[in-house]
Amino acid sequence: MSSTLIRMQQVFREVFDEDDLEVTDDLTADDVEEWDSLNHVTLLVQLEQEFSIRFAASEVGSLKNAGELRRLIERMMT
Amino acid sequence: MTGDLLAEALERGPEALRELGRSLAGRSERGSLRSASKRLVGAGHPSMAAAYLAFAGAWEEAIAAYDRCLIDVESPPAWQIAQLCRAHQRMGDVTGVYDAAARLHPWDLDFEARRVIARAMKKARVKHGPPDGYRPYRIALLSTFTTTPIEACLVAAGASLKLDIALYVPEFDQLRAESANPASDMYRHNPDVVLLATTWRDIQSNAPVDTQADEWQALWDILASRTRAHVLQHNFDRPPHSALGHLAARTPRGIGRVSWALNDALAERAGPRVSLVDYAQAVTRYGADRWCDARQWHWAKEAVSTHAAPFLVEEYLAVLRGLVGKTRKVLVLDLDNTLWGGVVGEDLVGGIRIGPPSAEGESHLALQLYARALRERGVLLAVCSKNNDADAREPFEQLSDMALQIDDFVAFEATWDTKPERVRKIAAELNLGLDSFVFIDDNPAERAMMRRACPEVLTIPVPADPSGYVAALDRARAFEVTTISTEDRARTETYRAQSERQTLRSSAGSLEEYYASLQMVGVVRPFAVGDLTRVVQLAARSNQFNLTTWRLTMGEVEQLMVSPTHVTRTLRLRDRFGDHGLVLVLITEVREDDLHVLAWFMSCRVIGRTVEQLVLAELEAIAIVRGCTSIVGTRIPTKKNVLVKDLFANLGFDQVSGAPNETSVWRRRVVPSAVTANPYITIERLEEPPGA
Repeated sequence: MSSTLIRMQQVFREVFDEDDLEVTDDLTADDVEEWDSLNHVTLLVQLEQEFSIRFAASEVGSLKNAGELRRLIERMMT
Repeated sequence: MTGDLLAEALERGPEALRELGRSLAGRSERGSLRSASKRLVGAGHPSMAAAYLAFAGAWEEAIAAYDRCLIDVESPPAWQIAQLCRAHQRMGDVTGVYDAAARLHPWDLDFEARRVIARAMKKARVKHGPPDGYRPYRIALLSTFTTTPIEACLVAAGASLKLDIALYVPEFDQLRAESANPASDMYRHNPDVVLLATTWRDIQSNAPVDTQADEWQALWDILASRTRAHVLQHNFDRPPHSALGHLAARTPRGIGRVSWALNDALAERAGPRVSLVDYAQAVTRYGADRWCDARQWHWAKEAVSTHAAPFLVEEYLAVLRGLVGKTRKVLVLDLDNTLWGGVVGEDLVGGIRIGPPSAEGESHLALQLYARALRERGVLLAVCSKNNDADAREPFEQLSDMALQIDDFVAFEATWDTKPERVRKIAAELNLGLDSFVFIDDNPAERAMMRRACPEVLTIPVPADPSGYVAALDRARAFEVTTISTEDRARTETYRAQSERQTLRSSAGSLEEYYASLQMVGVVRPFAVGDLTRVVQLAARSNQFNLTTWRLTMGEVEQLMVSPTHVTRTLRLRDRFGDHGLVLVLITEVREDDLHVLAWFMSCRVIGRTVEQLVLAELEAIAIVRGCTSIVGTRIPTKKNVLVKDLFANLGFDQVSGAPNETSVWRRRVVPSAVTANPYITIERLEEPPGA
């Protein structure tokens, strides 16, 4: 498990309040009960804080799963 | 392995510790987290140790650890409170969750903490039912933008007002549709408060201002006619960007001028059932550039960013505080290094700094001016200082730069007793609860002592630099009221007269002689239009002498006035020292042969003045006119109204039902040939309001 994914997992667990949530590259919004469009904004804001990054408005609309989010974060961190 | 990582993180500091904890939690390494927690306590990181316990899911131990961290903390970090709430929720203790949430203060405006708190409250409530000791409060939040961040903050912050908020939020942008449709879910929610959350985007810059203001007023009227709710309406901010630049503030149809004019027009139109939330001022204070995050607006139509939402909700809370009767009434001020710079006992009156030319003196003067402005709008001021009384009075008597005078204070306590002791004494003299008090003192040790001994008192965490005193006090929003009446403005005089009355009481021989010497006159009348603001205000504020603690809304008062079966009374009391104003409200209902007392509440200022006998006489008079043969009274016990526990018994009522600490019902026969009389209060009757 990549270190990015581990840190994402902890953010996901806090935002969606699921202590045992396992975040993999394949995880999608359909798999998490509280992952709706409104909590999505909270998730983005918390990820920005965790990784000290800033998403552009256009970047996050078309993400299909946690893997794409992970790759986006890793790109921004390098 | 974990031990090495921990040692390394301890070297690198709190940020690294936090990261390690989260990464262990991400890997679900609970055993490592628990052992790391023990080492963190030893290494002097108690709150991090508590966080590790929470990461490990050791909830009970985490609660104990967080409780230890939060003792004696001046401004508790919101994040620790959030973790405490979460731990209580995991333990299934709904009241514990709410009690933890109630410790939130505006000093820390962390959004994420509030989101976690609100979720813990919701989950606990769904699973275990409502918390004990929190008043159910129904709010409909109607807006023209997405309010998700605001909703979480509102629910979380409500706990500090002892409210269990049930929020109704319709689908996106349904403000007008929900209000127009009498069968909408919003009306079914039966709200106590309707909050109309609008922004500059709702200003129509092409429509005349009066037309727009009329439309908003029409909306308020519809809400008033269909609900018992009080309306909270945003006034209008300005867009942070304008193609007109500075001309937006001078071009006739520029958004700046339209926004100001519209705010004026709304202020003119807002009646007693509408409170304007000064949204424009909130945006300005927070910073218009940061208020709205353009990305959040484009992603989700959130007009208030997640980071600004807690700030806005503190403003809502200030208005709600006035509505639900949690407004504080007394500001207790320290003297040395608080009201002036220096120590008068050591620097002597010539050596202390107040006013110009020193910046230090000006900072202290700014606090005096703010306190004086509070006094002028009805807040009571008191002094509590460790000093010799004569020394403490000298600056007031000798220095011309002082904005406050001795007469501005209802109590002047300059002695060497502890401050909690003396605040309790002041509270007893003024007949007010400790939760009416705010305490400001430059000395952290005095503040810590007050927080520990009197947690009900709001102790302001002032910064070391006196130039920050006014902002710290203002930020607490402790004295917010929905309206200011003439009674408010005269309050200091009233309370000062009360201490003179007490002097008389000790000099007059018997109690009877004392009552007679007061030459009291009571003016009794049904609810009159000019009194309604005061009636609602008294309903919101009376806690101790209040039989049913009915927090009347303006809507309910208006309904009572036209009801054929309800009989209402107000009492104004004056005596030879002054006018107490409207101090008592009585609401009764005729139900066949019985006259039911639905509400009886009274300002504490007139306790011990034989007003109770006067009310009994009035109840008998109403009963006889309405053909009732009995008076039936109810007392609903609260934490505050022990004072009226034996009221009905003392007035000759027989108890019909109710165990101790439960709602009790009492009955008294009306015998027209033997009615009650009060020899000490002369009655003046006004049956009709003037001009009716």
